[in-house]
Amino acid sequence: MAEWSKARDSKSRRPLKGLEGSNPSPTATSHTRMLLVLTLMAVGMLLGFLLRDRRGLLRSVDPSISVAIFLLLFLLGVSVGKNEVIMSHLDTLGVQALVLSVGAVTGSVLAAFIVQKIYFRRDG
Amino acid sequence: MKNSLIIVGFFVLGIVAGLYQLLPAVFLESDFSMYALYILMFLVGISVGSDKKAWEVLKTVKVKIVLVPLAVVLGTGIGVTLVSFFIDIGLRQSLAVGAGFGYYSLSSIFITRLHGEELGVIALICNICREIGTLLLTPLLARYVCKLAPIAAGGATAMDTTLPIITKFSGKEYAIIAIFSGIVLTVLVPFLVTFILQF
Repeated sequence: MAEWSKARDSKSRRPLKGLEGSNPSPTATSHTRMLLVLTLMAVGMLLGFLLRDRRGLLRSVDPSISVAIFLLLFLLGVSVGKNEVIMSHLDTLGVQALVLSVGAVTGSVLAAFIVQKIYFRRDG
Repeated sequence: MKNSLIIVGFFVLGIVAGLYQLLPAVFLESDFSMYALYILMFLVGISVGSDKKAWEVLKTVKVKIVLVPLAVVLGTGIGVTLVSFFIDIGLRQSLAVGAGFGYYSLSSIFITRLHGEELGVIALICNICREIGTLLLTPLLARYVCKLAPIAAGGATAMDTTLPIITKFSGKEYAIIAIFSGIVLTVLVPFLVTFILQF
């Protein structure tokens, strides 16, 4: 009995090689963390739906989102500023980003054109 | 537009602080920004979930409306794939950047987490360009291509930042399509980016 409980005690359990245990390891990979992030978002959506009539409670949500975004983008800036490799290639990165955005917008617009002609025809 | 300027402002401020090492080390712990991201995504969830307009839109739309965000996903994927051969960024990385659909704040943070700062910066610039490009091109797109074109160009931003200009040039009857497409793409961004960078 002592053996059995020990084997299933999450604190004493060693993760199998190549497998994540049901408890995240202290050095959880970035993907495990991102899954937690996505789960939090889903929980938030459910909670938001349930609280949708509590305007007073929800009033601070959007400003808080802005603050969190400002903070995270600031921190991204800090790590970029400290990174000499990125700083010395900022112009190349910018050009590549611009090329990608042209591809993304052009592709989307052409796909939308097809959808419009076939499925939304009467509104031109 | 004002919001993107503020965000770029914070990003540039961060660069200056990083360049001249103005910050105490506490702020640079990666766990600190991870917790901020947890809070951010939880709040984004609440914001989307409590959006009555969003649920109202869902009740009134016809099934064919899902073709619009679908076209944006496929069109972005194909377009990004084609241009990725001309630049120094791999196909998977390019697809992840494209999957920001203009939602630069979230996509750049996610991509930084999953793949590193360099691609995160590209995602930030690329998706800001997408938003600004949509704001500038909407009058031309609506007039010379089709009414859905600005919605597709705007991607995830069609539900908020580019909505006013889309409504103005594509017409009020396109506002619901724009909001719907924008919401679907906004929710898709974190999932798609994580999925693409998984392989």
